[in-house]
Amino acid sequence: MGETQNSKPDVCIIGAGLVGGLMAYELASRGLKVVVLETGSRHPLEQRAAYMQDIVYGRTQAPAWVSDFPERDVYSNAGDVRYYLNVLRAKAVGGSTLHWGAEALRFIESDFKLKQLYRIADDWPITYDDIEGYYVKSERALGVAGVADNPFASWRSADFPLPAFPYSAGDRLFEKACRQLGIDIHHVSWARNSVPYQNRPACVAFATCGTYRICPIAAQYTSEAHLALAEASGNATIIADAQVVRLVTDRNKRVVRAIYMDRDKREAAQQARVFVLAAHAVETPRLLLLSESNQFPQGLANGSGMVGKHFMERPAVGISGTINDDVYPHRIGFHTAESHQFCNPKNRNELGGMKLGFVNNTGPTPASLAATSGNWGDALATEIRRSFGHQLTAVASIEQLPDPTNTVTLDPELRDYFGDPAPRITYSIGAYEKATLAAGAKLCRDVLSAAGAKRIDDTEDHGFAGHPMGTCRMGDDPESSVVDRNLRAHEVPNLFVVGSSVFVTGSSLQPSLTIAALAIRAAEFIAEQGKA
Amino acid sequence: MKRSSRRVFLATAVTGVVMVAAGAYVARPHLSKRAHPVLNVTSSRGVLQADEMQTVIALGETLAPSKFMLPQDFFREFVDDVTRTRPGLLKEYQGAVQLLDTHAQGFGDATRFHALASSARDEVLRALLWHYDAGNATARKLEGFATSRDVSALRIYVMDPMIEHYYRSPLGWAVVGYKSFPGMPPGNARAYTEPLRKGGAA
Repeated sequence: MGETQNSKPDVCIIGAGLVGGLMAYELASRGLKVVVLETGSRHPLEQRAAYMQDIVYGRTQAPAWVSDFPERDVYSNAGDVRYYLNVLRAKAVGGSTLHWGAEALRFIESDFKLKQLYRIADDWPITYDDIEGYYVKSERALGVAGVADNPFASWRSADFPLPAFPYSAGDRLFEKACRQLGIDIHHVSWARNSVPYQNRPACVAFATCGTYRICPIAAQYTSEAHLALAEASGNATIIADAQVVRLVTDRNKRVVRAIYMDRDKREAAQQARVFVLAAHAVETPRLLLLSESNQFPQGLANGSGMVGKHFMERPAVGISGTINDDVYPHRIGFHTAESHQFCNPKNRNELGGMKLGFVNNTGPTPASLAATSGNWGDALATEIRRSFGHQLTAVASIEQLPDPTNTVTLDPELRDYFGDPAPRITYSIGAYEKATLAAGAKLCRDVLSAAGAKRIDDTEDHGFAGHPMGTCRMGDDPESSVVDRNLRAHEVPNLFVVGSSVFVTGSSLQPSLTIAALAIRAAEFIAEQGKA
Repeated sequence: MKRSSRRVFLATAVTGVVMVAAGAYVARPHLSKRAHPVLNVTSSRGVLQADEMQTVIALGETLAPSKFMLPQDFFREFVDDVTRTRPGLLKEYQGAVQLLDTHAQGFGDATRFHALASSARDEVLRALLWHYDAGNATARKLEGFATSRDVSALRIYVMDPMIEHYYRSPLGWAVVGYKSFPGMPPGNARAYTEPLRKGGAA
């Protein structure tokens, strides 16, 4: 087993995604020595345009970071609902920011205290007020474009750093329909440059960030931006293709090294003073469970038995209809208007919050119409001209309550490329979520009807937003949580868990900005502790 | 109808339905192979002969809308690429050429598909294939069962990809008035805020 060159840095971060990038930068810029271990590979920005072309012209289905190592990324499912893990995450330097939607929303105050307000779920040990300042820092770090016109948002102490993207022609159709129904819509805040910011260009509407999940010019934020700054400081080293397989502790119950393997299964070890586990809500609990020992027989930091429990997502239902008007889809990859009017309903103890959004790249493209048509030549062109650009789609994304039976555990049989038990995701949707999805579908149908749509879907089928949360929840009580309010493991003083895995409850709003806020807050805490 | 005649009629109808169902069940693997022809992935890769390519380009011209001029080599480059890189496709393109040229011989004096007038090429395809609008999954399925393996292969491995290639390209987006589209940004980044002007401003 080899020891890495950077043999004992201050902090070892496991995972080079949103958390890894921000924390590496925050810590390195304060003079701390940092090593980041990332399971996936680097995909330089110069390759991005070629990746985009390959997807747009149908030569591949997804960028390499989604599909380049299937033997490593095996998993299994149990429970009522199949969870398509590998479609929803990216293992690479940059993590899921390489293919995220980039919607950068703050949670609202009530999201942190569902038990106090509605007698459901649990409260976070921190409040919106505790992290509002970190939301501001996150918006500045990521370069969030927005405008404070959302009447349902919680208070904010600073303006958005970048101006909002104006409404699209298609979203104005929704605006008119929503007005008829008394629904307030407002601009969307995006971690995507509306003007040049932090050496990244403004969005020029490649329109590939939605359907194809790729921005060829990095106008959309990825954590590669902060990883590059961290490396440039001289204080941070990023090691790609390094799958951490165990965390090893000493007799003082401190993590002393992370054991990792490269793609050729060569083993190495990384020491550090502090370890940060930031590997998403599935791999994070998996690594803790894999790191069982005599001291931690249920898995590292799992005396409470809460590691892997309370897996959550943001289920979503999308409803489409067709209208006579032209919608002009596929001209940008993102939507410009949505409504948070239903995110905190008065009867939230019975019905969850839901966010109403509108899709701007909806409906078949000319190629997808052609692919299912039996026509050719002028007849096909006429058919495509007639059919294209008349679909409207509204989406309701809902909150899911934490349920201890929704879990990430180790599969008893399935092994990954490195010979370790694969993650097993046991996942179901409860009555609360089913009722909320039904209400969301009805809301979408009402809006489409008001817009004059015909042939409106009657489906209740739902999907997911791709936002796994929970599994290492934070709390003040070591009996019922994995990490404390500073995200330090209750049982392991030099181990921090950062990311959506520490969320106590989800929200109907996207989790990424809250993840970023927690990351910057944790980095400040670790840096302060280092001084003491 | 007398009761006894009704019984005979019913018995005949039931027997007929059962026989058709049994026949379809027995023939299912055969029909399925016709509808979903299997590629011979061990066959050689490479490029078509020049005369074969003439037929394929003529097919491409028939598949594309007549209003728009096709750039030279638009389909040639695409076909060369797929027959060179994807196992089994060279054989399917060669089979398609043979099928089209054979059927072209029923139209006037021509002995090759590419020698036909564009309306006659269209007629050849119409004689071989069904034509139906997008989303008609039943027609698509039935066409596969009702035609021969060669015709299914023409549709699935040759025509569909060529049509898709066309409609993924700037030419295909131009059909709906788009000059910019996913992967090809407009000159004005805020063009999306306005309705598209007729003629495709952005």
